Amino acid sequence: MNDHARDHVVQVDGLRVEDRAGRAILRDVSVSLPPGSRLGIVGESGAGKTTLALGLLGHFRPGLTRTAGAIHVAGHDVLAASARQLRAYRRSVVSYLGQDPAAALTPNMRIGAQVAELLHGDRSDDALRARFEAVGLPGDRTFRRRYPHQVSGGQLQRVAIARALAPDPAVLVLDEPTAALDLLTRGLIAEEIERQADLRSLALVMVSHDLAMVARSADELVVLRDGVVVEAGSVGAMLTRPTHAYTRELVEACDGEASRLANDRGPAGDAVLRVRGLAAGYRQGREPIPVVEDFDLDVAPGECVALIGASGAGKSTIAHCLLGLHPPGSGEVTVAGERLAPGVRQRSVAERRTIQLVPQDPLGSLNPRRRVGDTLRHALRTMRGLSRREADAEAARLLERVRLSPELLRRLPRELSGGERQRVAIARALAAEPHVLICDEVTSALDVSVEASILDLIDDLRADSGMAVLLIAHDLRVVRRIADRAVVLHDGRVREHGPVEDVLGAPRHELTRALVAADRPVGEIVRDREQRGWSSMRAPETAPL
Amino acid sequence: MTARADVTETPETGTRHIDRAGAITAGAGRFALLLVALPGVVVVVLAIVGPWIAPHPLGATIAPPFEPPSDGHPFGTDRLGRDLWSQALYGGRGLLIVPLIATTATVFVGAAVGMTAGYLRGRVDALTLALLDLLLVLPGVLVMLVLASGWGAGPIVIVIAMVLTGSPFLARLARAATLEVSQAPFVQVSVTQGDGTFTILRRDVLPNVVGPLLADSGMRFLGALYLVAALSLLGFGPPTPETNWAVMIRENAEGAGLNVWALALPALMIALLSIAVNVVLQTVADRFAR
Amino acid sequence: MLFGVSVLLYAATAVLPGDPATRMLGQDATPENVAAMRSQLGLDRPVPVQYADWLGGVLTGDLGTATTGRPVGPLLRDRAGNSLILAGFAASLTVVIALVVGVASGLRAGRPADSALSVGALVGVSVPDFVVAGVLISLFAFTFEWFPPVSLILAGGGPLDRPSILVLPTVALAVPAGAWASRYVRAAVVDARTAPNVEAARLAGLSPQRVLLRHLLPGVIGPTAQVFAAATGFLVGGSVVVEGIFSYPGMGSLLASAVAVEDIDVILATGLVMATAVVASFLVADLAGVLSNPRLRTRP
Repeated sequence: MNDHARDHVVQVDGLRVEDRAGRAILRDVSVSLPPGSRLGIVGESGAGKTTLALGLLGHFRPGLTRTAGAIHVAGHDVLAASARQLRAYRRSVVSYLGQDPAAALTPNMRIGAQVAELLHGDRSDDALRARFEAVGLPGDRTFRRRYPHQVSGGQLQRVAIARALAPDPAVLVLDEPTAALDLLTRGLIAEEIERQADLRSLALVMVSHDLAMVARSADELVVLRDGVVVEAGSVGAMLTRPTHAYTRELVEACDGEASRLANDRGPAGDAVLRVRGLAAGYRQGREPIPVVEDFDLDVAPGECVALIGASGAGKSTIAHCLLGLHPPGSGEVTVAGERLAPGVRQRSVAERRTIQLVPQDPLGSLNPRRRVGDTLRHALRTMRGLSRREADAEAARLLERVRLSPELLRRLPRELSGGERQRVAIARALAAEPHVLICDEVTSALDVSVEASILDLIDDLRADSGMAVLLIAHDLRVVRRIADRAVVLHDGRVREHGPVEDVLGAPRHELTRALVAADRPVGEIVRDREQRGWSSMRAPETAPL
Repeated sequence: MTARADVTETPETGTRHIDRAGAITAGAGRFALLLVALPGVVVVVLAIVGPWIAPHPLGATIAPPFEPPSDGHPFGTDRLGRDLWSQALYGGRGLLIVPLIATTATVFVGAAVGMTAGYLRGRVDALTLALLDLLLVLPGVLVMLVLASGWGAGPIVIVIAMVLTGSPFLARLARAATLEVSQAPFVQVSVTQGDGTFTILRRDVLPNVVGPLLADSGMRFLGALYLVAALSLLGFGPPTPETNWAVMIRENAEGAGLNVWALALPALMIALLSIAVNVVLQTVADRFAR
Repeated sequence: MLFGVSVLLYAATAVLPGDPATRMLGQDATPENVAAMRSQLGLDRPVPVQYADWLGGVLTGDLGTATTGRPVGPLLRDRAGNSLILAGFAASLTVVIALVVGVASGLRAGRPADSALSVGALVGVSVPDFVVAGVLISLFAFTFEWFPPVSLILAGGGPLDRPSILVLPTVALAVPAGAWASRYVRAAVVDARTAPNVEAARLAGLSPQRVLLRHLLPGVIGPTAQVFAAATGFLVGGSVVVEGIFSYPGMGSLLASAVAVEDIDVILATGLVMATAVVASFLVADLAGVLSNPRLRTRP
């Protein structure tokens, strides 16, 4: 055992991890964390965050090998341990909460048994009850005998936390445990984890792509990029005075106010998209289940309106109704003065051209087996009736409009980056020269720096062509950046609407307030923490809800 | 179709674990596959050109029965004293050509049925699924024997029996893959841009389900080969003196103690042929998977 | 389900060419005689009526009459029993092979052991049961003389009187079916191995045995049960051929001889019993699926 291993609860020295091809996933990574503090590790996808987090538990995913370096956690030389020692270390020193903690529970085991199997010593009924009640769950036997599918999503997250805390670890490694949750649950769970960490004076290692998430409670910050530590230091210094250009870029991208795009255009003229009295739902057997009720919307040319709401609020259903994919129960959709038929099959080509979709998933938004040029040409020929030669030329022009090289026409989607794929998906929609563009969470799977460039592109396109944009988002950062107006949906009804600054600045509906509290820009967090002092050892934060 | 509730399936789609591509080569590793497949490719070639290069005419008795290998006949002789090597060269075509035709027909029927059911969903899908499940429980040999009892054991009967009992597997596979693909956002965009059902099946769905279908068609080839061989083994084989490897196995099993090749040679040929077909199809299928 | 199968089978025999009346009377029979025979056999009635009559018989235990004039029921009873015993052993061995090979190679995915097992399984799948049978006979019956080359049963006895006759046919049937099913087990294990819950159990420091038995395998059994049911389908088909090779007195040889003389009632009855066996195995698979999945076993 060496010296700094005694000083620091976590000490990583010169860690290098390679994949089978010999490509370095982590290069010469050194990280240290003094006792009683919290470490945040921030980086975009592919930066090696998860590899580093799992390395702290002595685990490397199949295909990865450590070629150099050492890891010490609470005095244990993790990478020198035998399989037996490693199991003992994981059973007593360190716990891990990965992405979507609920998925870490085995569906075939009762939740009580899954917590009990990790307890040391006392596994009595009372001990187990205490563990459940400590994380705010009912502790009775009936509840503990349930299977994971028999408890609610929020409760399941708490079971996962109880399970992680069962061995009374000294260090808790968190790998984006809240990324897969909707904003409301996210806030509650993040708070529960922090409360437990305070209560048990746990050392936390938090890994995230979201700077704002980490900025709330970390003491030390490490920024990873392509497997290299770009910058490391105390969180206050790094957020207020980032030295490295990449850190500055991250901070700016996450800071709602600084990155607000210039937006002084007022609505130009009459609404190009007009929705009146839209209602839609589905049938469960004979029972009609309403999803959206009494929905009105006006969007002017060149305007960007954001549709905000938690998952299940009805955002996607509205988009599908506008596109004719989901027949509405009642109501009418008018684009540029023309009333559209309810179903896409009943719409004429001209009607279909007026309203287009850019879908969410960057991999699912393009046919993986068709080349970019093929996809664009087909859209141009069916939508605009162009000849083969005209379509060829126009496809190249479309790519230039979304700022891609025409050389990409020959590529397959898998040969493109996530951002490039999303640009092609936008180009496919633009092929129709629509009046209204529906963007369904277009950036939710992208890194923040790529996200910013896609949003800029959408903003420029609407400015150039006067196209109206309907933005479906659950990420307020995106809304703050380009939307003019916001409409807040909850349980299928509009709860609040108005200019973005008003809705997000002074939210009236409780749901909006909760959303805003859960997704604060970095700038606000920084101001908040400057007032409180930067130490994480403090009274628990006042509940945002 | 009310007797059985498919409880192990995913509730909303009705797909099951068995609807995954039967990647029977998974995990073997590229080099190992090549090693086992290469001799098989030689066997395929021999099966095709065999009758032209056989040293002795079909069915010619040239020596005492079950003689061990010697200069004139590299693998010795069979039950009737015929040159084993020549008989083996004659006995490949029948096991290759009919199964290939049957497999092709099965793949086309299965893919068409499965893709249509998977894309249209609803009542068409439910009805197709019920029919497929009926066919799925009928063993291929049984169906073939029933048909053969009336129409004789001709190639057409074999193809029909294969399509009836083999295409349900492929259809379920194609249906499962189609259900998944047709949920993809890019298909929604195609619908909003006005593509019809046929265009979507051809442009968006087919290229994405070809991989799993090809991977599974290797198993279907095995099934078809099995049907042809089973007919021969049960005494409904080709008229003498025509032969195939299955006939050779049946005839020569008893003499394996005298000349081990009498049994081993046709057995090896069948095994190598099946392996080669599976590895080749899987390799092609892998090119279609991302 | 079985009703559908019976309709399908009956329809298949109904559309077949060839007239039982002509067959029974011979080619020289006068048209009048044939017509009389047809009406005596009830063949002049519409096919659905004939079907209903046949089905009624089946439900009351009357499986019809063979061309030899003997009732099918007793004829089939012993044979079906023998076949079920063989198929039962073969199905059990199939499950064992598939689980052992599939789990062992799935847990070692990407390593040399997996490659070796997977090549072995590929060879196993590619070698049809009758080839395995041929190899087994030449090795263990003729070369080593451990087991008999033919599986004859003495009059009045059953296959269990001399279990050694069952060994070779059982192995011959189970090797290809087990190898095939092992591929699906492997795929399920590979999926489950990297599933978040299994990774979490491993990261929590639980012992490998506990991770395998409590967290990994329970999630594998449900989905693969269907595969075992399908493998049973292959076994039932394969038993027709393998029983022939070993001269084992089961349904397979009965069916083969019935086909040779176009004995429709025997074909229908054997077909129905075989299909019933496969349907039953799918039912067992469904049951296993329910029992291994708390989502289906319990109320929400």
